[in-house]
Amino acid sequence: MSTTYSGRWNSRAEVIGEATLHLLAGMGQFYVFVAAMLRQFVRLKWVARPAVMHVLIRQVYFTGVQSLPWVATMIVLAGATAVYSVVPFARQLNDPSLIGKLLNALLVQEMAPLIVGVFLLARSGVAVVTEIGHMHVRGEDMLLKSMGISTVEYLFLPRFLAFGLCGLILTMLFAGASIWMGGLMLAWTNEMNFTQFLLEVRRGASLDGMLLLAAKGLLYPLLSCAMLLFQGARAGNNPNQIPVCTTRGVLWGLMLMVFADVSIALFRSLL
Amino acid sequence: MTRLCWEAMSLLDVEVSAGYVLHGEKRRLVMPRRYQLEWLKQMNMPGSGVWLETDEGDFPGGSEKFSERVACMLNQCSTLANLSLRENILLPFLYAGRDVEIVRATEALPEVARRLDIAEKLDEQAGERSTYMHAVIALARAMLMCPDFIVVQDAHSGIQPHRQNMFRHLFCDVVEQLGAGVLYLSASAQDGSGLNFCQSLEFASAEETL
Repeated sequence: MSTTYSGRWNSRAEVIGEATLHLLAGMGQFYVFVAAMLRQFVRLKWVARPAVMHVLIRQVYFTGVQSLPWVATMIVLAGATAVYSVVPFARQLNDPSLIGKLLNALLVQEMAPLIVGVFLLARSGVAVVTEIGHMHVRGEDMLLKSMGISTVEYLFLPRFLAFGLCGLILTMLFAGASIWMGGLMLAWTNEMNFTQFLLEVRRGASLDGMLLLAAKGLLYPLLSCAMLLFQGARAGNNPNQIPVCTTRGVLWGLMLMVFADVSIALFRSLL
Repeated sequence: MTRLCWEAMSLLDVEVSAGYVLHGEKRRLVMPRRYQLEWLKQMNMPGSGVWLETDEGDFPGGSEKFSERVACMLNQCSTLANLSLRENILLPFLYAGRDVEIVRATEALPEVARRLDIAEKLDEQAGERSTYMHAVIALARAMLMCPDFIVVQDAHSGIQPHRQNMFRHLFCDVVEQLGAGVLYLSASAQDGSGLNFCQSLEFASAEETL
């Protein structure tokens, strides 16, 4: 009886141990993958390679320019949601200074980078991981290597950079434009004067907050893109693995963003 | 003397003895497809025992210098689907980023494309293409690169019968014109390449997997 009981616990411990080792091995591989990309980035050879710049420009167009209509829609919706939640709350407490503080804390520093990060992950991220997976299945990585082309430099780095660049620009755009849109809506519905609204927002803004917005806007897309590329590169020769890798890439990308958000919040609270 | 050399290596479960191909020579290794892929993988891996011996020094497999002087023709895998055929052919030059070479290749491309009868298709997206088209694109790339050696992975296998002869003639003409050494990796001794090999070695019961 006791043997069965301890045996069950042993097998549970084994499962947990194996899962932990698997996770640690995955983290190690991910670290090596990201380090290889950063190494290529720092060497700056990619700047002088038209083929790499071409991929970068295409990716920026796809990730940044083509997603503008979607981002514009989200700007309107998020702006409206934020101001119509925050302004009545501040009025209830008879403290207009809360408008600026809350909008900066919630919309600018938290919602904007997360929404843009999740949007890029769902729209361009899925395309990236599927494309990379298909290239592996078709043996295109072998072709690139046979021509002396680094897959890290040609396939991964331009996509990684495009995500970072577009993430940063779209996040700044999202934060600024959603506040303006919210203010305009308030003015349109006679809830609040537009200039007064902007003054309150300005009062609640800080340089730290802006820097944090930029850092998050850059970091979240980079993290999620690195995870997506990592998963895409693991598809191997099996086409059935592409949807599996896509799902895994999106989920882990999302987890990384949330984890980074929590880490930043904890770090700031400790300072 | 320029030589493409390899030391004794293990390919999956077989041992391949050390060997070389001299410039202008044609040699063949007959082995199943998965061994061919493994050979190619090892060739493109730095420090894996394949190198190019030249008067200017040795260049290990996978290095930039090696890739400039050794062209590869892979079976059914010579294009990136999301690029145009023009970009596919010029890719090694666009990657290397040397302006003089890019200009030379760009200027020579129309003539090469005319000779291979793909001039009107150059701006089409590669997407899915026939084995013949893959082989022709790889040949066009080799013509522009003017390599010392061409490593061919069963490029003639799987080509539609009515294209076979045409491609065989084109390939032989180009090889003669370039004077390049050829290392032909084939799954069968009847590879249909039309080349006269000075040596043909068979590994791992090659015919089995056909």
